[in-house]
Amino acid sequence: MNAALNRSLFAGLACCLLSGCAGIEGPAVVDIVRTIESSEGITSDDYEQLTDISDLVFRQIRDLDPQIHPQLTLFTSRNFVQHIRQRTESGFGPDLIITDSETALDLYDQKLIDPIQLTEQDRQDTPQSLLDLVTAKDGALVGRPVNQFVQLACFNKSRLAKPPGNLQELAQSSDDATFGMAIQLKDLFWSAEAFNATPAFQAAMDGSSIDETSRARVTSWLHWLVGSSYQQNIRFLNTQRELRQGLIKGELDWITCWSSNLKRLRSKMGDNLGIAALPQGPVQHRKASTRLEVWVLGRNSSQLQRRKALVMLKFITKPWAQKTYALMSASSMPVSQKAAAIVASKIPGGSEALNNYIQNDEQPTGKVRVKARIFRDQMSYDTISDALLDTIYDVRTPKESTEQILQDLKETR
Amino acid sequence: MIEALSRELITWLGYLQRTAVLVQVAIVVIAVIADKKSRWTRKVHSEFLISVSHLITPGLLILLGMVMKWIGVPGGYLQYLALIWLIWRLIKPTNLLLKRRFPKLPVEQLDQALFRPVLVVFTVISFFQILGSRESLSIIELGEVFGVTLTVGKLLTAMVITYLITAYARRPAALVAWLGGFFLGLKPQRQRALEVIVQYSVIAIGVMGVAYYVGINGTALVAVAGGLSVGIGFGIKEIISNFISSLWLLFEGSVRPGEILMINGDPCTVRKLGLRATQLRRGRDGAELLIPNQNFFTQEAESYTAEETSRRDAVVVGAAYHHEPQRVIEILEALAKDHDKVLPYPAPAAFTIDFADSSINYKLLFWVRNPLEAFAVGSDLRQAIWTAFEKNGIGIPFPQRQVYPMEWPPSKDETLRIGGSSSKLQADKTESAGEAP
Repeated sequence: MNAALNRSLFAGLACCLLSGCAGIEGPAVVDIVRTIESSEGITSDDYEQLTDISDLVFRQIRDLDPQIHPQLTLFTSRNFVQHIRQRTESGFGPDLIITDSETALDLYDQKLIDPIQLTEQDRQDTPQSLLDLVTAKDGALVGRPVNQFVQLACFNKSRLAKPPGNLQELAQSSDDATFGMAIQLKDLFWSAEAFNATPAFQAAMDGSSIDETSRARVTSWLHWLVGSSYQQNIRFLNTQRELRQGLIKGELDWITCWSSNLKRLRSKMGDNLGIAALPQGPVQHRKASTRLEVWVLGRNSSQLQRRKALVMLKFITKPWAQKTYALMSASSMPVSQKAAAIVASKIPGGSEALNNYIQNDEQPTGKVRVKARIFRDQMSYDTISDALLDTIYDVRTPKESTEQILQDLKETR
Repeated sequence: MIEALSRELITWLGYLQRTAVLVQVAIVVIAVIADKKSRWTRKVHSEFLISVSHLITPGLLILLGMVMKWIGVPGGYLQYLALIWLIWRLIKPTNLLLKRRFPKLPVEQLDQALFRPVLVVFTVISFFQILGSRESLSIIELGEVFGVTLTVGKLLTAMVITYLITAYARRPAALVAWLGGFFLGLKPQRQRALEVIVQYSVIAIGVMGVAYYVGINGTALVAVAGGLSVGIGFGIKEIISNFISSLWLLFEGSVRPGEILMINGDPCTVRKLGLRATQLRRGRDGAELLIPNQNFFTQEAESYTAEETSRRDAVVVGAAYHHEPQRVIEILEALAKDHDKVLPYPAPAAFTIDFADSSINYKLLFWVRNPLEAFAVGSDLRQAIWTAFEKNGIGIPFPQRQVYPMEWPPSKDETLRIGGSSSKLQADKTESAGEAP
């Protein structure tokens, strides 16, 4: 350990000495910042959760290029953009940022990161639907998708023998068990897809006419949300973290969760943790709801640091690395289509997520998925989020909210 | 811990690979050197203006940082360093200004106990914040205390809070004491006792709060108390004894700040009742005495202010035998009654106390309100007695001794002459001898 530390310190010192010689391919410290969802600050547990995989990744990258010295720091999502702005304006911005697609787009909007160039081969290996999620309005690719986390249902096996398979069962089961959902659009979007409300959003954003059927689906979705909020045993909480805490404490028996949190939940609940797909809605074809893990390039890197960051980026998106780390974590699906096909059956919700790749093939070229369009445009995202809150809190009727959403989406076009 | 620290250190070293960071640091270094060598302030004679002029360089650096950011070049670190520099340099003009506007404000105390400590904490935290290391440094584990993992963040926070509590507990305590005096009509001494009690209560509650913040629960505190009880038995008996004595004295109210006690025959004012010792100021020479609290607890103490502050003192004087004692007593009592600081009630009284060898001795007893003034009043009265006796033809006799040189062994003639009825003093004899031809 001491020898390793000494080596690192020596390398760091050497980095400084070579700082004036940008042309020399010397050692480089690559500052990596990773966001995690936590409202109570980072703890040493959070580092321990990531240590196994990140250590292995960094070790293997250093086998490839011993001159790279990656240094990982964790940050909470809260005020993250502001934090990165402060550091970037001072010259201390990270070389690499590992975050979700929404944050990446936000960072790009505020000119805190540099866009990424992908080779044609890289583009072919990554589903366009995922690239859409990290494509800014100006067409720039703001980050490189590396993993995707699948949204699932997590439940307490000792309290709920069989998880609800569809929304009707969920309503019926709520007599015996307590269900929890996060009142955030990114966590509730699965239900919009389950009611097939997205074509109306798409039409509104395109400025085309919206047929009554599509409009009615949006209203049905909102009706379902209001109906659920009226139920005694369905609770809407603010964040995913509150949901997880509720499940761990036994206050909730079923919650929507993300595969990124399975390790933490399993460590707290042990064998009582059950995992299932999200309930199916009126639409028969189930879609996987996923959240991207994106690697983004900071703006303050020296030329050497940028080169090393790109080496790391290239390494982590290789099918071999994608497969290895996805299987190790058992919680994320790789973005590489080749790797995804191999690991899908081993990852909870992986088979449904694999459908996204297939759908992507069916998607007309250049047609950006509605989810990506909503999530990358803050105004559209806020429009639907506000309408959701107004509906759940009975400020507006589902019908009024439907009209409001579609009207606002048209205007923000 | 070392691994985590080295990780941060390596990250910071990585920043030195960046031209933008190096440029900002270089600008600050050059500015500091230039500022040190600048001489134009030598023509300014006002201390305030000189201190204000020292703000110009950091102010210009802040502007430069803004310009750099405006043109899209990182200038935030330059701005930050300049801002910290500016804030530190603001201390002096602020102090001067405060002194000028509020002469009664304890500016130096505020500077040392508030401004500078707060700035140090702000500087350290903001420095690591801008480097992006504040959170990761704060979770570095230092070890376990009573089963609780102590991190750098928790330790520093606990230290800062403890400092603030101990340094500033007196302010709310003084407010409570003042309110007690205002609403309950407490005397100043009781107010000060109340202040001390509230102050230590605030500190005790604060320290317990900090312990709970760190994560040390009640069980651990009980364990600490158990360990201490063993320690008390061996090594720290005296400390605990003094501590308990101080609490007892505070609640009993027998030794309070402002109280006047006789210590080894000297009146001393209690200035501060500490947890270990009581600080007193000796009236005679102004020396500060630190007396362990248990002394007051276990030994008798003479107080002039326990119930009332009046003190009785006495002046002893002798008058010749041929003066009528009644007349002398009247003069003495009249003198005492005329003195401003001698209390009319109980009235001063003079007594004949002794038929001494060469005088009749009198004692004048009088009361003063402030025990510390008794010494000065006694002095005044003695002077007044001398003047009054002189005026009334009353002599103050005193024994006189005359010395005669003698031969040894004395000659027979000399012995006979001295013993005879016509004997003369030796001086006369010497004088006569001198006059003899």
